[in-house]
Amino acid sequence: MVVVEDLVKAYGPHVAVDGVSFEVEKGEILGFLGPNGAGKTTTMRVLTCFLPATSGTARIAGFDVYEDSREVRRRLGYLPENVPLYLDMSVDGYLAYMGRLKGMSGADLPGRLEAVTASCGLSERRRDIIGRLSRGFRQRVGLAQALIHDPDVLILDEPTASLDPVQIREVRQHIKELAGKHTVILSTHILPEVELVCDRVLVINKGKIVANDTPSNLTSFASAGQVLTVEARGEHDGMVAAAKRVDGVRSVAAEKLGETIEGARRLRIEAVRDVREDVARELVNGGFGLLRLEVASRSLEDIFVELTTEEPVVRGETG
Amino acid sequence: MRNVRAIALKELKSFYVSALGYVVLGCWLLFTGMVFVLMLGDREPTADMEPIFRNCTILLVIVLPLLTMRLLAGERAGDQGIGTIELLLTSPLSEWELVLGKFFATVFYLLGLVLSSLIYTVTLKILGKPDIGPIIGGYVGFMLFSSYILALGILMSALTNSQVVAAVTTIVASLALWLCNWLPETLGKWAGWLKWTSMLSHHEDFWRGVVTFHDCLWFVSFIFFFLFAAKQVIASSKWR
Ligand SMILES: Nc1ncnc2c1ncn2[C@@H]1O[C@H](COP(=O)(O)OP(=O)(O)OP(=O)(O)O)[C@@H](O)[C@H]1O
Ligand SMILES: [Mg+2]
Repeated sequence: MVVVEDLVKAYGPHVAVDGVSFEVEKGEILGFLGPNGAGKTTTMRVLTCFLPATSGTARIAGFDVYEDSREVRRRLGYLPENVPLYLDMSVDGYLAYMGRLKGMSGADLPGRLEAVTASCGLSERRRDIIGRLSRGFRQRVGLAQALIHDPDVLILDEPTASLDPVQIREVRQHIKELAGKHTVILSTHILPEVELVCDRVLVINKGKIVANDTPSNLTSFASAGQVLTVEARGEHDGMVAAAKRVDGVRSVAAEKLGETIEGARRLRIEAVRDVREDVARELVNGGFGLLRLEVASRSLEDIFVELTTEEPVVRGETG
Repeated sequence: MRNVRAIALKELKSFYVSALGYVVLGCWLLFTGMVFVLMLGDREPTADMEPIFRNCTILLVIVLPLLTMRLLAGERAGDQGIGTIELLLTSPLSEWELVLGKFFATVFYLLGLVLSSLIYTVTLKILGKPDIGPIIGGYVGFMLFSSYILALGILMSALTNSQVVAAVTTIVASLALWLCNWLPETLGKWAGWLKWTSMLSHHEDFWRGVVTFHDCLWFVSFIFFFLFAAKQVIASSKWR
């Protein structure tokens, strides 16, 4: 449905998107994940035909975003990250206007307005002037606007920003329901969101893709390496040295464990292989009282930080 | 064309939602009304509307840019510095449709001014025997002249993100073009072309009821040129 090949977008000398390639199948939900300034919005703007790419191509439903821009735009629903709205219009007036610009006929409008306002939690606000709505409600109007013409492809730039927790859940649920029939690309900083909503995650950093995988694959990839949480009793330096003697341990950090057990410390051990047995043996042989040993499960958050702070390495495409 | 209509209707409506529409209409009625009263009190009152058209043209140069300043500059940097243009340009809508929609909104707004000033025509008709030719000519001239200012205003609005800059540059450019009408008189014959570039020199004949093809073509060409330039400016953001 969406095919992006070697996309580059430079603002003058500054390269914001640097050779990004990916594909999105019909009905899939793809999450863009990346720190501020990674190039998520820029990529989306190229996909929505708002900005021309410096080089590379992007095709949506078989149409090139540059050559057949109008055909692409017909099939798109877009929520820009700053949620631009006309503050002097009513919610209904605005949605009807956007619907018309997207090519809807006057006969279809009332039904869609009804459905879209209901699904975005705006039923009671339809007559309100947008300028008087709170930030979260404006966000919902922006989302409703993207959905109004029931587009094939939805591009949502941080769709849950500034919503309340209940609404975030509703919007996520809503986006999930859209999958199958619609193809969705969304960007976010919120990691659980990607795990909950997306079929696939694209981690972008400094304009480059650093990972492209399912959320669960990403999590399990990361645990090929191992992080152990160990609690033991004993003298600090000796304990750290003992742990470090184990082959495969990369780093050890120790902290005091409060006052409940005299001399207890918690170690955080990062290793490149499974080192549980060896660490346990080493500590016991060294005369330290082993209190607890467990594999710290790594959240997507850790992986995110790791992927975006280290030298970018492109990993397995599963496109 | 459906898109042009949707945009024109939306903008026309927002003139009246934002009170700007009423303010401009009020200014127009206030000044034309005062001129009309002064005209009736003249020692030799004339049964035509030339004084109204002649004296209120300068008013158009000042108030019409207030209508256009927002149209495109406001879409780029909205009330909160956010760009609604992003949604317009990602809708299946051509740059021409966008510019024409905005332009027609203002032209329809002008029709309101014309309608409201028919009150003077009717009064004249009741009080005396006005020559209807110059009045019709005057209205045609009014529409062409105003459309010219509006098209120029839309171009300026396309060129900047600041509504104030758009309004000021439109007013200054209009006044400069206006003054070009008299420059040849002091600069000499070689500057004769300057008179041709001034919209005033093509406007005056209308007040006398002389509607020439040349003058109409002059206005229409410039209106087209300004709108085309505005369209190109908008489209240029998508050029590689
Ligand atoms: N109009 C512009 N002119 C120049 N540089 C720009 C422009 N827009 C974005 N950039 C730069 O391009 C880079 C990518 O920006 P982009 O907005 O795509 O990031 P992002 O991933 O969406 O970040 P965020 O999470 O903060 O929204 C940034 O370094 C930014 O400064
Ligand atoms: Mg962004």
